[in-house]
Formats: sequence, structure tokens, C-alpha cells
Amino acid sequence: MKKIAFVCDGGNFPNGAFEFLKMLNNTEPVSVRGIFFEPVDFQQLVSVSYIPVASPYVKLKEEERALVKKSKQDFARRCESAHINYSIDDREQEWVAEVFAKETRFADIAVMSEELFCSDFSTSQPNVLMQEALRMAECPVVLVPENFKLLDRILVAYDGKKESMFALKQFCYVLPQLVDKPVELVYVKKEENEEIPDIDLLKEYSRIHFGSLGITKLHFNAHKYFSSWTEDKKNGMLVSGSYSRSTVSNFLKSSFATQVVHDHKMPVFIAHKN
Amino acid sequence: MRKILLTIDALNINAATIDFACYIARLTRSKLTGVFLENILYEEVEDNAYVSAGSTKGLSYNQRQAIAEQNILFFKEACEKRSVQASIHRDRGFPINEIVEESRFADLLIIEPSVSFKKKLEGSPSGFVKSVLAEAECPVIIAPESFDGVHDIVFAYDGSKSAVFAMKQFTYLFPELSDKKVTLLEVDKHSEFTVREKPKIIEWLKSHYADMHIEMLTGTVEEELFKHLIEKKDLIVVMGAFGRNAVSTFFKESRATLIMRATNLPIFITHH
Repeated sequence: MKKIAFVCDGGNFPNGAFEFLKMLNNTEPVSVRGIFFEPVDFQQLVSVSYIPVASPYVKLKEEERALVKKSKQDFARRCESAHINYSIDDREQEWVAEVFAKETRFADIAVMSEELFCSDFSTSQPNVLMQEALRMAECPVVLVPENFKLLDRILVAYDGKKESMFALKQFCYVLPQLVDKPVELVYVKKEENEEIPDIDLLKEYSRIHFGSLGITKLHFNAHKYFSSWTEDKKNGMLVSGSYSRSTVSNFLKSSFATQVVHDHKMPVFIAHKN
Repeated sequence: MRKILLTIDALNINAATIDFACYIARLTRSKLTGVFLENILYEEVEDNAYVSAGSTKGLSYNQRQAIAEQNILFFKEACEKRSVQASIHRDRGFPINEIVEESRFADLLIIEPSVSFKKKLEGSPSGFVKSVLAEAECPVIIAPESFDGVHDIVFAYDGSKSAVFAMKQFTYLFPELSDKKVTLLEVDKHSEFTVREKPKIIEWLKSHYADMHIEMLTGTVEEELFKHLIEKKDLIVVMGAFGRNAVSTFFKESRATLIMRATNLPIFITHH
């Protein structure tokens, strides 16, 4: 039974991530741990901190705790109604990347909202805290848009490097129930020829793991057009690798997966070595 | 079904390693890819004092090719006899580069501890095996000299995230072993195995294995590990190592080396 970390901050309950969880539980029972953080809204905190009395700050913190409490109650109610085996982290805490890292160390997958994660801090995703979460995660992370309903196909961003193969392998291992969906491996490079690095080895590996496989080379600038290209790929999920912990931020700044996350187009599965 | 590679020196094949690899392939219902490596690019000054009886030194190119072809045939027949589907990759070049590239597109790599492309006899593990462990892009199993089966799994846990990573990778690759007895062996008294983490790892293990036990080693880690495993049979040891430097430190500390030399157990190692 896979262990899943369900990540929520403040009142930003990730409905899409919960739908994703239900989909997984329907194919193979999972065990879910809810990890709840108090909202991160520095602007509000700073403004109340300037007031020379404690009560506005205390009141704000109480309101924040009430939001977290409500999210926990919603999570428990929904898990019970969907017959999902669950537990809830009982700590009351603000976002601490190290806590998140330890939770993901003992989980098989983490799921969170592609849109709402720490959106009190910034709505432009991936915001700094989402980048930090992705950098620190010690298991694959699935970012799920709020309108998630169905998953009909898998798109794999392949670049010939070890990071993309690492992500592809982890996808096969932690979500084996999805490998029978049609899989499209996409290599994007603005060049005329049809060459794809290590294509024979890639085909050999992929045919062992996937039932229905297509390999596509797209001859355009990935950063500009990849997100638009995915618009035709309804109900898909993008599998994408990233660089090591030290450079995951660079990956998020430059990768075409970033645009998909930014536009909340489809769930994105991200895995990297620490 | 997994993609499993067996690293083979094209000129020196080992029947016991093929036997072990076939067991793993049958267990996971996988095809076994024999990667026949030949070092054709480097010339080494020969050292007559330390050359084994089965050495292939001094053979002509044609003679070496004939031996390689014979070994490939032997591998195919051995797999067929054990009802394992086999395929062959024949890589000529720098063996370490070839095997690292192959490992990027594989789930598991099996290697015998003494495989070496040097003419001088090396210890076990050989320099080549250490390099493979440091650079492989998939988990590696160091094959035992003889083998009857896997009845128990031992997770050597030193509190590090790479040890947890190794446990996860092993578990994902071998769901067929989820009914086996699993022992979490704490091997570092200074570990960060805190009160808060212990229930988490137990919970994770229990969600994947039905028969889970914990044992703690106190005293000198190497000695205790040795004592614990020396008389054991039919188990596989799972260990993590962190990155390239850590793999060499790992061997200097001699935990894996000791187990490898003294116990004849398969060791699953992956680095994070």
C-alpha cells in the first residue's frame, strides 16, 4: 500500500489533489497522511507586527489556526466518505521546508495544489515556496490543478539526460496503476533533424513498462510553445525530471514544465535525486 | 516486469552469477539483458606475477572474439534452461562508460564483485565494481558466489536519507517479496533515528511489508554487522550510499566489503 503525503496550507484546501488521491485509491488502496501548515502571508504578518500591542497579531494567528483546523476537518470528512485510510499530522506549524522534507522521506508520493500552494504568499506559480518544496522533497511530487477530474494519458518530457530518465522510472515505480494509460514521450528541440538521444535504449525501456507508447519530437522552442501544445492533450499528466537539489530552482525557471505549472494546465509529476 | 542488466566480462563468464541473475529475472518476470563488455581501447602493462590461470592475455583479436561468442552462446543457453528470456547487448569501448549509459535505461544492474577489465588480479570488490556503484544510474545488486533464494530481507539503516531511498527503490523493484520477513537493522548508534522518525519508518515499512522486525546493533558497527550476518543464509542486504564520494567512503569503512567477502550474501546498493 503506497503512502501519500497530502500537503495543504491554511485554508487553501487542494480539491484537485484530493480528486487525484481518490482516483489512486479507486485503483489501489492508499494510505494518506495529511500535512497541514499555517498560511504564509508575510504582508499581513508584517503589518500587524508594527502595531505596538499584541492583540492584532494574536488574533491573526488564531484566525490562521482556525483555517488549518477547518482544512483538517474537511480532509478527515472527505477521506472517511471516500473510504481512504488516513492520518493527520498533529503539529501546529508554519511552513518549514525541513519538516516537509522529513515527511516526504517516509512517503512514496506527495500531492499538492498546482494553483493554491502557499498562494497567500504569491499566486504566480511556481512561487518561491513551491520551488522550495520541490527542491526539498525526498519523494516524487504531483502538482494537481484545481479542476482535475480525469486522467486519460501520460506525457513524458524526455531530454536524453539522466534526470528525465530518473523521473520516468520513479513514475513507473510509484504509480504502476497508470502505466497502462497511453504514454507519449516528448523530445523537444528546435532543430531540423529527427534525432532523439539514445532512442533505441529509450524504446527498449519504455516498451517493457508501458502498454501503449508513442515517441514524438517537437521542433520548436519548448519554453515558448510547449504549454500551448499541451492544450490538445486533454486529461493528461506531465512527467518531468529536474536537476539535483542545488539546481532545481534553475530548472523551474527555465523548464517548459514550469509554464505548464504556471498555467495550471495539467497535473505535473516531478521527481529528482536529492 | 523490469529491465534487468547483467554485467558480464565478455571474456570471463561466471555461471553462478548467471544463475543468480536468472533467479531475479524469474522472480520479477523480467527479461534479462546480458551486457557483454570488452575493453578494446586501453592497453595495460602486463604483470605476469598476478595473472590468473584463466587469463585471456596474449590472445589475438580473433581468439578473443571467438571466446566472447562462445560466452554469449553459453549465456543464452543458460537463460533458456532456466526459462528466462534473454537479450544481448555487446558494448565495446570503455566498460565503465558503456555500463553507466546502459544503466540510465535500466531498473536494476547485477554484477559480480570481482569483475574487472584489468589484467592484474584485483581484490573484491574490484575497482571497476566500485566505479559502477558510484556512477550507475540504477540500483546495483552485487551477486553472491552461490545462492539458494531470498527468504529474508535486511535493511541496513544508519538514519540517513540515502538508506531510506535504498529501501524505497528495493521495495518498488521487488513487490513480489512483500510477504518475506523484513528486518530493519539499525547500524549506527549516532544516527538521527529520532523518536519522531522511528514511528514514521515503521509505518512506511508496515504499509509495504506484512512481517516486519527491528533490531539494533550496538558497539562497533562493522564488527556487529559482521557478527549479525556471518551465519545468515538466503537473505538479501539493502544499503544506501550517498553520491560518488560516499560510495568510496562506504567501501573504506568496509561495511559492504566485509559483508561481501565474508558472508556470500547478495547486496542491493543504490545511491541518492
